[in-house]
Amino acid sequence: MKNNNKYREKILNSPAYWVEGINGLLYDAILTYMEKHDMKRKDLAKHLDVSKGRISQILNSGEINFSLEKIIEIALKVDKYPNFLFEDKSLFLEKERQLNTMNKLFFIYNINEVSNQLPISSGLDSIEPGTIRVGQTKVISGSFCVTDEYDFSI
Amino acid sequence: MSNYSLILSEHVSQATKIKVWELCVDKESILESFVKQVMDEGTYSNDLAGAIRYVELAADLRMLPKTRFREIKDQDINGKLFEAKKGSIRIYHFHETGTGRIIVLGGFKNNQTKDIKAAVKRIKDFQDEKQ
Repeated sequence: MKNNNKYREKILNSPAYWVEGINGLLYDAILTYMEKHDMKRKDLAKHLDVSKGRISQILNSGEINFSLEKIIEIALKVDKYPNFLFEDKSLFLEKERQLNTMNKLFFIYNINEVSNQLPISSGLDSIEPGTIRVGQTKVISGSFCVTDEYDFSI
Repeated sequence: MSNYSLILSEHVSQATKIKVWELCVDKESILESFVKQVMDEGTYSNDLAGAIRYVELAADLRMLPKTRFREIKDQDINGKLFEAKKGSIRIYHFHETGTGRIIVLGGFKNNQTKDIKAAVKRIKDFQDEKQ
């Protein structure tokens, strides 16, 4: 994992990353609103002031393709503030790096915490930061309350 | 000595509610070479970025359209296999209780059937090795 920051940066520099982010978040907001208000497609079309065909397009394929003004209007109608941020690229990347480092440290800490429960032959000293050997996954994952908490079925 | 290991993904945001990992063979992430190939070549880099964004949104418990993110059902694995897609790019990953989302591999739309078979085989090998 030597050059991943370079590729992560390339990913973040792709317009699709941000476009799909907005599409996905708006899709989620619309569906959440529909469920909360027990709305049918025709009710939603009326509420958003768009055609039924357009609603089908959004709900079936996730194709939003509206103007910025319409996206903002729809967001407000489904009880969301479209709080766009324009962050400095270098600061954004630095925040991601810091988060990655913190996650790795947290992970190493957990490995150390359980290390005396593992067999000597487990080769823990050769593990790179952030890497789990398969046979140890069960022990280590016990420390990951966050992932357990959010474990769910779709 | 195990061949398989997991590494926290550095291609995906680590701020998601469910952690996203990459499956490694002999300490090398399977996804990494695919990302490198696609991003360096350039034609499908935008599609890859979009598909990665969908992996992140799903790991953040967002509802997504089936045309962007779907469960591949009826696979003989322990857990659910998912496909995130944008244009010609597909990213195959599965959910493991207590660990999170594990990206197995990436592929192209025209190689979907073979890639799904390869992903299922990797997952089975990984799960067998753990036992």
